[in-house]
Amino acid sequence: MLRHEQDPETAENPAIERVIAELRTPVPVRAEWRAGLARGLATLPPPSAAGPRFVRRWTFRPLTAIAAAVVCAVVGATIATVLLGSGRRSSSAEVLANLTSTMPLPGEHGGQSTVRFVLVAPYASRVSLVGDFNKWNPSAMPMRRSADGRAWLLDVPLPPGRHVYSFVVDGDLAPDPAAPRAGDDDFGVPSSVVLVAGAKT
Amino acid sequence: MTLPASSEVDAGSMSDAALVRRVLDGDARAFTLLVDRHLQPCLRFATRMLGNRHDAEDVTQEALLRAYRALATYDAAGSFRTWLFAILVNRCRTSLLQRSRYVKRVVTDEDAMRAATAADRAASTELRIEIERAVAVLDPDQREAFLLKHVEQLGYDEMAAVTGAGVSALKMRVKRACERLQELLGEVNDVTS
Amino acid sequence: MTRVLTWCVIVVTLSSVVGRGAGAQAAERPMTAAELPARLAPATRQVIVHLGDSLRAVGLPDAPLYAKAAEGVLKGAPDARILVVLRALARELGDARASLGASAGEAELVAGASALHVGASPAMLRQLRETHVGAAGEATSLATPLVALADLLARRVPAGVAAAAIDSLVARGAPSDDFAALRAAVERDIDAGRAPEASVVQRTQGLLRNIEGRRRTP
Repeated sequence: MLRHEQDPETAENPAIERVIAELRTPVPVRAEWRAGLARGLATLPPPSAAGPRFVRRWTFRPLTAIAAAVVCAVVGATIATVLLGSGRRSSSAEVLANLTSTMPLPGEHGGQSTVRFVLVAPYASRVSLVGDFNKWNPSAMPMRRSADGRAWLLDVPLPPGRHVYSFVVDGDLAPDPAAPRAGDDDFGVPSSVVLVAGAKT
Repeated sequence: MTLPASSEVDAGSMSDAALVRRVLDGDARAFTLLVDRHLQPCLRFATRMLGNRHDAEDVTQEALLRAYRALATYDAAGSFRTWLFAILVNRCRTSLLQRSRYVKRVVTDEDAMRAATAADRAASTELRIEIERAVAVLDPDQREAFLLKHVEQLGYDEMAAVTGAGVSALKMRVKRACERLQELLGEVNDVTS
Repeated sequence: MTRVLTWCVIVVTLSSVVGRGAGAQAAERPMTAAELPARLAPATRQVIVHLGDSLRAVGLPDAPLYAKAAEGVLKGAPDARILVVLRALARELGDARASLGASAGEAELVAGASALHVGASPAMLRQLRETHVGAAGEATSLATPLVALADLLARRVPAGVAAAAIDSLVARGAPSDDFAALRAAVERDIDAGRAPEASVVQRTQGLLRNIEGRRRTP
């Protein structure tokens, strides 16, 4: 049924062959997960030869797919929170469902601009800011809850340049959904970038 | 001549297309056999593609449930695995899009020290970690093409059917993935040697 | 849908007074080797300190190196991976200075290194610098255009297209806001399914037309 077309460029490369061999190693199938899958299948009505037409729609219609993606994001994050065992009211789902904004403020002080970081996370109990400007230390810059209790805020004077940062929400690292992603996600976890314009330093 | 003693024996030797027919004719249990046949490659692809087990399990489960519901749309003239992988690849892409909303637990010094003392830091573990890291930093398109080609061993025509991309574009993605992997793993060797 | 919600609910609050309102923090001084996270193995720490010394010896900033190491530790990266990333960063800082010249400031070097990291070539950086010096002189910073270039490349805009777009804006003396606007508009376009190349070309043309318009209307 399947055929394997060897690429002459990769087939004889020992480094790539080693990678392939490693990646082909079977992935363990957890018994609980397999049982959960069986339960999930058992709850579905048997598929009929006539074929429910709605099934095709989700695959090809972008708006439906986006809506599904949003639902999956929230559901997935909820599952992740349970698996991570945070057990706290501030769920990752809440963070995902909420929004943030950061922008450089016009005030300047000793060649630095003050950047206001804002995260809307009403159910979080603790939020801090980490970045290359505070040694990525989660306890260095706790954010303050806004008067209405919905948002978390912090003003940070930053020198001109490119600064990479992220939020820590009840122990979870979360990039800023409203800011550009850092292109150099070297550690497999995205961060955000804020740019502070200014004179040469 | 001896006939098969039970429907299970019979079903076990049936083709994927025949099993699909059987499910559509009302034997839902036949789908379990299809799941057993394809679960491992699906879970492996999702794990390699997404880089973590939890997301891979979610995505694989979702793909299989969707496949079950949409079984009537499967065209028996084509390969069931190609059809299933098209669904799975789609789910993986959606999951990756959500990475912009990726959340990861912070590792504090204390956590890391605890993990470091508990873990067996064998050389093979280090290599595996580095291979996983290298695969993780590939462009998603390149990673997808590389995994389908070299790990799941699909042909380029099947890959085209699964991904919706052209064969020449897929060949280029696989080639670039190989080059980038070599580059990334070369850096590791430079540092560790 | 999420984007619409994002822009509907987005909180944009300006304050022109430094230190007022949101619990202003003092900016921290640049990180030093002594502040590297304790989790790093002694051998790893030694390599990082050595790398930092090498950078300082040739007049390059070492703080970005330590900050990157701290980021890796917080994100749970193994030491071997952190070292790979730091070696690449050290190399890119050196390459950035070779391209941007000895007078390049730290912000420019960091931005240049980030652009190189995501696919810019040293020749692109050299070209940008030449254009920048010709248009604005040595005294102003090239960091903003370099960051915009890095962001476009990170969004998979073809390198030649991204560099040409940024170069044309630099040549016309575009203000920082224009580069930020370009980044944001292209990101929105790409999220909406538009081809990165087409988005950059069209958005840059729009910004260039605006610059011309502003010049004609004093």
